[in-house]
Amino acid sequence: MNSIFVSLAVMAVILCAPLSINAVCDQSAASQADNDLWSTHGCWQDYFLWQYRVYDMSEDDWENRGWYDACNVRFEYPKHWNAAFLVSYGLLDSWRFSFHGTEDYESLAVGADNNFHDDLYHLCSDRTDCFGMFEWRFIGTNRLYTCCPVYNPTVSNSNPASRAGEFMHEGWHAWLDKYDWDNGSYGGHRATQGACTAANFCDYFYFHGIGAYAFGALYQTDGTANRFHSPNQVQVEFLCDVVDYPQDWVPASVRLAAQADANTRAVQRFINGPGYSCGDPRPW
Amino acid sequence: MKIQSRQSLVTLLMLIAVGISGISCTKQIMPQTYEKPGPPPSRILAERKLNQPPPLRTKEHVPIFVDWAGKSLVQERERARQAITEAREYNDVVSALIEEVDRSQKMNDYSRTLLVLAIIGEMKNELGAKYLLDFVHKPLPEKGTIIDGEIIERTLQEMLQAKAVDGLAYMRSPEWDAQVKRVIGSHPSRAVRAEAINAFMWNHGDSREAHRELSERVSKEDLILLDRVRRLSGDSAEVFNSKLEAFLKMHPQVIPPDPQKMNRPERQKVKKSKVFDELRPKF
Repeated sequence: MNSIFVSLAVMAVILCAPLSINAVCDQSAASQADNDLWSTHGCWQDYFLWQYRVYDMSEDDWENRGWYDACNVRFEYPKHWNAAFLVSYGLLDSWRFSFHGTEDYESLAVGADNNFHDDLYHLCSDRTDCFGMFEWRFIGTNRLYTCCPVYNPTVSNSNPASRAGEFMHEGWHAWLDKYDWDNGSYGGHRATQGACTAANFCDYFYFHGIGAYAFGALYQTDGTANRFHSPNQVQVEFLCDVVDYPQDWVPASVRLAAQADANTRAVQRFINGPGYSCGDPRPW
Repeated sequence: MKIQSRQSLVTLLMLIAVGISGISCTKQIMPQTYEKPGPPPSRILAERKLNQPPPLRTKEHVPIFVDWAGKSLVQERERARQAITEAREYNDVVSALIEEVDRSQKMNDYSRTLLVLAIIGEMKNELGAKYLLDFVHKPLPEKGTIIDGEIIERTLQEMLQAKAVDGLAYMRSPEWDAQVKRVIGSHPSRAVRAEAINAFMWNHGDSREAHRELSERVSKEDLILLDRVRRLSGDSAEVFNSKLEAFLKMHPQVIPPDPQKMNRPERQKVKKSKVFDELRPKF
């Protein structure tokens, strides 16, 4: 009978092990922008207890990434929900001024099936060669990964705005998938061409005015270039809204990092670029 | 069901174990913390004293001021600008800010480096501007970590140099304008050239003269950057949309082709949709 129990024990360990043993990203520190945004909420527990469910996150994947230390901003999970906090509350949502509203950006990022995408499951990847990834799955929920460079403090994108921008970018890949749009054969992007300088991570910019989309209608398209978005574009427009129309409590370090990311991305990642420039160039 | 043999029993028990472990592995465990629950952000922010920057007169003041500046809110922008401008004459402060740039770079805190470069630029101090000029011309890395098709060390440096060139253009003098034009004409990074053009134009009120002056200097591929649409805080839909319309009229080649559908068999949707309609907590 002992052999039966040994078999059972081994079986249980094998089944659970791949889910709980993860490497981790750089957990040594958080950027000033992360810390500054953190100081506005001081680790708001009501929020993260809501956020992990709405973003469909699980202890299996985030266990040694701060799941049990959710108020320690050095870890990946607290950094993830810090970025989600910016999405949930950080935008002014003025229909006269903003590109899109919180309703759009949050719908794009969250887990549950909606007009923007099928169900999504948020995970962290140890890969160091990506900011994020969208993975379609034949069985089970599609996955939205955020990679170590949006958590490692040594990388410029390790700030709440850029991390949230990655939710938008990957969420838009989920939108392309849901509605069967082809955005290129290089992992959902196009080859280097035109004004784009990023190696095979290029998109088109589908210019549109303010007010072209009612809040909540970002998912809509008429199937032409007049009313369409690409992943990098949605990301730039989100970052622009953080820069130009944030809530009045969003810290300067978060807005500056968002502006630098938006403006560099707008120049480097569009075949028909540059995209819009966000904010004025006064230093402060 | 009758169990025929010991082998069948082992198989049955293993199946039960798979079921049990499956349930335990997927059990929803909520995130936890060692800290006690705190108030909502609205209460934290209400208790904050606004528009009271710490002093910025000696080098010892610098780290504390930078901490404050990073946290400063949109509604404190003008007060921060005033405090930075008042420190313009203190070269010790400028030197300490320069040291802070180097220190934050060594600590790899990019967002702090960006912040300090912004403060130096806002000061309009000659010593600070000389530092920004050297910073803008630091060689860009040619090799490094490739992330999503870009050398991330290079992109980081380009973002910082773009912020530095904002400071040079903000000096608003012929001498420093000449340096900005040098960047516009010859900097190896298009992102930095684009920002230099943007800053030069903005600091010259987007005048026709500035446009003409730059159009004689920039490469053919950069000409479009002179007309790039700038979205400013305060731009209403009417203002922004008219700028965009003018841009598209001038550069119709940027209008992209229509998107294409995937050439693949239609996917059967077999996944069960999750439902989550609980409202987020009140701010």
